[in-house]
Amino acid sequence: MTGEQIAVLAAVALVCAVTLLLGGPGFSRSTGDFFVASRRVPPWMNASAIAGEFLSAASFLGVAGLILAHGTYGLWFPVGYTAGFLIVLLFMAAPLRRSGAYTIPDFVVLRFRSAMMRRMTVLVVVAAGWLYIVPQLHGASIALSATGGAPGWVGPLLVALVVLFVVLTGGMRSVTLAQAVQYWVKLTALLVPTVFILLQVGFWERLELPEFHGAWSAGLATLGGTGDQWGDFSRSLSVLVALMMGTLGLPHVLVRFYTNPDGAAARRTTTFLLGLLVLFYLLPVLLGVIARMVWGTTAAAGELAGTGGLSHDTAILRLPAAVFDGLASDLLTALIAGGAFAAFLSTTSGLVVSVSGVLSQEFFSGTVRGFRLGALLAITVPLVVGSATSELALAGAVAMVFTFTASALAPVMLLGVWWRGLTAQGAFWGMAAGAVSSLAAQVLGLSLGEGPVQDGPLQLLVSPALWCVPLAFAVTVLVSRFGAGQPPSHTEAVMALLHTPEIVAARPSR
Amino acid sequence: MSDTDSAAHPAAADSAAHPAAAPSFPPRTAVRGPQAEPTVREALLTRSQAADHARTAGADSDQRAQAVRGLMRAQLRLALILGVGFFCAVVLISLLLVTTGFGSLTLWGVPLAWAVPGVGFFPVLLVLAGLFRRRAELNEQRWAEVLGLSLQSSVSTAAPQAALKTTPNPRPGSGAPR
Repeated sequence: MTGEQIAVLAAVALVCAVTLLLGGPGFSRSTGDFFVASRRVPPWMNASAIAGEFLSAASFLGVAGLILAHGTYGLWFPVGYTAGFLIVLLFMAAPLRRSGAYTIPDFVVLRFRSAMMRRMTVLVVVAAGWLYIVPQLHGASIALSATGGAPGWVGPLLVALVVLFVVLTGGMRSVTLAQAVQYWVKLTALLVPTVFILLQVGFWERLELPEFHGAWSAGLATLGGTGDQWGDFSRSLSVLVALMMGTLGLPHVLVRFYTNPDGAAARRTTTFLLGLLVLFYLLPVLLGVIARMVWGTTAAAGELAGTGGLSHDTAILRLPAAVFDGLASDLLTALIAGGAFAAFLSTTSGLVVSVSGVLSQEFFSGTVRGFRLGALLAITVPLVVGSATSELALAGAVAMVFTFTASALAPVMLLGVWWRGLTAQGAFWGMAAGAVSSLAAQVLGLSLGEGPVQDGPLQLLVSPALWCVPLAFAVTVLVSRFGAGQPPSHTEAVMALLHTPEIVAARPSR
Repeated sequence: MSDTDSAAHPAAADSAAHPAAAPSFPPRTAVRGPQAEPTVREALLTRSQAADHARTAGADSDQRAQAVRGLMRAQLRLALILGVGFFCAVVLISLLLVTTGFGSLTLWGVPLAWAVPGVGFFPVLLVLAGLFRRRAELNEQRWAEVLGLSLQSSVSTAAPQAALKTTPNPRPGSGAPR
């Protein structure tokens, strides 16, 4: 065992231990505690928790990997992820909190009173959650095997066990605390190496960098970039649409808004959150650019690709070893691996909480025991699926989940909050159209092409957000307007509930 | 809910007032939960929220409905302007970077094609978020003023003094019947 492997394994063990300690048998008492921490979480803590939950394997490892592989195309991911929360703030944060519902299906029931709609939403939410957990487990697998020298199945199993323990014993209260800590862990785990690497590259100058301009030429041909500017542009646009709209439909993120005390607090939380995300995303962008400088030449890129299938996603993990040697490299690699593990753990536990919440309310009558059963289901299915599916680039796989939620959930949620004319039929067909078209297009595109970055007509299949999302909107609106159904009779009351602020007392009349 | 309450109370009062009439019990009936579907309010509001709504709902429901529509329209307009505006700006700027030589201009050695998407949009996002929060709270303040209500100020910094001045502050423990 090399020094690097020992350091990495120690760091991962430490992260797991801290997570277990924070999430261990805690203070939760009631079902409400389990689901949404009884709504007693202050905004700054909530913002940290959402950020901790949201920054997944794709953000931590994937963004830099994409920048290395595809140049400026990778830069759009942080912009899209952050802008997604601007959309959440603008259209959803306060109304969602005021709706008082626990989960997305609860919101749908409140809005439409339709059992069919509820079933449909449960299916979509659970599918999105499962699909999103798979890349997290893949991330754990490659991180542990690339740097810790462990076999591929160790990482996913470790993540599954730790998450299961935390969720089963603590519920969401302890998860909230654990998530808030995770954000700061992740930030530190990237910030410290970034500072050291910048110092080394910029000032200490012990490294012979290849030609500086090499880093800026968008898309090196050998690494899969095309050099075709229009292709890059429309691909970037599609990613931007998927990420901006898809955030609206992320079950594990939306459930966090119910833990705010009121609508105004939900807005404040989201504003904090944008700041935290911006702070974080500067780091993978910087590291991605540095990685491009280090491996910018064709020869170096070939050398990196030769080290294993998922080379780009391990770029950040390999960067310290390329810039430093000896103990400094070992320690920095361990720090990054620990942070990456924090990312896998936090996102997975958030997803497991939300998926099991939905599952237990739908199938196990919403009890604590049902929640535990749901948690078991929520993690084992992706574990099985993940070990069977082929490996995609992390950020690409997550973008596909965003495309799915952007098409299936975002139109119904947005129109549900803001349009009185929406009918249950319209919502049903819109959700069906979005889910089926986005899933079918991506599966077809992946089976025809070789990866999530394609050109020409295939690109419309691989990244279909540009037409799937408008399609789902159009179907929802058209069926609502011209279909047989009427808007639910209680629409007016629900709208008042969603959009009016919480009241303390009537003023004396003047 | 209130129906079953008012039906139950006279019966309870009767049996308390005439303990001697105990032998003539009415025939037993199975007591089940409310058979009617709960209203949205009953299902979703906490007790204090429900009381607030009940207190203000009767006052002038027409004016209330109008005000809610006005508030919604104002919030939606604000959100659409900021959201769609941001998206269009991003698309236009990146088109500019792609089609013109603008993208290869450098800023401290970094081409704009990298600098703008890499860091340039983040400050804009933060400014828009802060702007929205302030304007949305102002819209709600205006709505409350129209209806003569004061908002719960758990975090809102907008004019807490106004709320304090105009809200009668019952002494602690007085149980202030309202």
